[in-house]
Amino acid sequence: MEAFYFGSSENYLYGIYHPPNTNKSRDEGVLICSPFGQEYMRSHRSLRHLAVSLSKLGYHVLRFDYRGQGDSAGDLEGVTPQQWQEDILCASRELLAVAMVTNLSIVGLRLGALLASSLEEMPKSLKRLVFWDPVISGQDYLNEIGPKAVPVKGGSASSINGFIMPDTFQDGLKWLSLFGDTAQVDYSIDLVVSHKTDAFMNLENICSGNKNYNYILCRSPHDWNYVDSVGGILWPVNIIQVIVTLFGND
Amino acid sequence: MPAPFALIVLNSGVIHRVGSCRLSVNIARSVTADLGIPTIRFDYSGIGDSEPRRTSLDRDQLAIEEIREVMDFIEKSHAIKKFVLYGLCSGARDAFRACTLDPKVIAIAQVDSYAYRNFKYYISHYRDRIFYVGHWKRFLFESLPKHMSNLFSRNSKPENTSMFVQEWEPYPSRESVVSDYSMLVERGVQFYLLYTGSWVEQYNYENQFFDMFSEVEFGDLITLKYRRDTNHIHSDPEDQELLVRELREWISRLK
Repeated sequence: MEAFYFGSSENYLYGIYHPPNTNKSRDEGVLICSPFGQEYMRSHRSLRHLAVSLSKLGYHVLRFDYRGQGDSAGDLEGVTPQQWQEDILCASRELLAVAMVTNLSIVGLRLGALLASSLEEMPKSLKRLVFWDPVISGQDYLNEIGPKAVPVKGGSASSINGFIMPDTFQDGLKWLSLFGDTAQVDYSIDLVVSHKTDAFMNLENICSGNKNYNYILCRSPHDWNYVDSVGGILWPVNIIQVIVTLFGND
Repeated sequence: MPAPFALIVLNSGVIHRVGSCRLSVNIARSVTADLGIPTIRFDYSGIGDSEPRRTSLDRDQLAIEEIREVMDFIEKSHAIKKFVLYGLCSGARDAFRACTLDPKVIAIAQVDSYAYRNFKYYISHYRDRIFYVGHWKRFLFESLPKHMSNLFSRNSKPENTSMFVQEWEPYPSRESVVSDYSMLVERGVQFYLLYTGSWVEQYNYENQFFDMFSEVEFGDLITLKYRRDTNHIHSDPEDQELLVRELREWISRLK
């Protein structure tokens, strides 16, 4: 495991690279896209565990923090989801360069899935997208977090479970949708969900009509955006194992 | 010329080095940017990005061992020989124990650390139950509906069913903490202590700390704060900004 900073000097990003931890090194990198705020905190251990497990299968894995989150530079003032998508692309290039591989997979959890799915242009090396409990649309997410949002900074931002989301970010989210373009794609998409909702059942329908799409339900804990009095974290081992198995079957 | 001391920000509970609501990052960056004091954040083994260790030490012993390893590393790499430790919750207790064992620690900042109920605690507790409007509001609009909902819900589960939790050692006796604080005062260690409203099961009035440890003559070595409306993880950005500012000011005054 190697921690390092990358990206532009104004918005340097923090990354952790897990090289293959086995004799068999694959020609494929896996980029892990984390969710926002409290969900990022709650999922850190799970995403690290996922990265370690994938590296044991021979994958090159990169975890990173978006600008203004975690160990990356700055705060979120004025930041937009589109800038976080630029960070995803920047991290993709970094992974391909560091690992010297030609294929790329992206795993996104919650908002990380939405951001990865709606990149303006997908990396050419993309082979697989894995969406774990994806946020279906930016508007859905805003509706979900709305009751938790407390206006701060003179009303130009909201605090959501202790993490500030500026209005610029919220405005940019409104236009994002998991399957904005349902055209045929030349990479595979795996939807791994921990529970049943109407929205996830719609996804299942979309998947059933498309050979590149795969839908998996694995009942697991999923209260990502929950905060208790001591800052507990979530540890849904079963669903992590399902994702590892998906990659293991390749 | 090396810095006069370095600040070490400790993990709290199972939260990785970013800290609840990014508090640890904000403290570290503020202290380093505004005061020029080097700050180190790290993960204990088995937390965040640090691998677990095979060891015969228990969690508390290992935490102290690792804090000392970090101090030794900084001393060797940056020629800094003095340290200030900051911790919240379990981190506050780790800071205290490390300080008792290592004279390189010249000051500690503890948020929601050891607390022991005393007579005045109970007076305050029952007075609040009767006269504090907020308590009645909480009871009527939060506790009671939650209790009723749990009573009638077949699917109700305890909140930590799906969580990664850690077992904690019980508090040491008050007498032992008194003895350790006395020793640290004799050594000239300086303290910043903050208790939040979340610690209400153990701490519920302004100067309870001085009553709990009345045998210790803290003199001007201590800065004590009590914020009843602040929660343990500092999820309100204003509470967080206030803590960061106070810590920065306290550190700037350290000798």
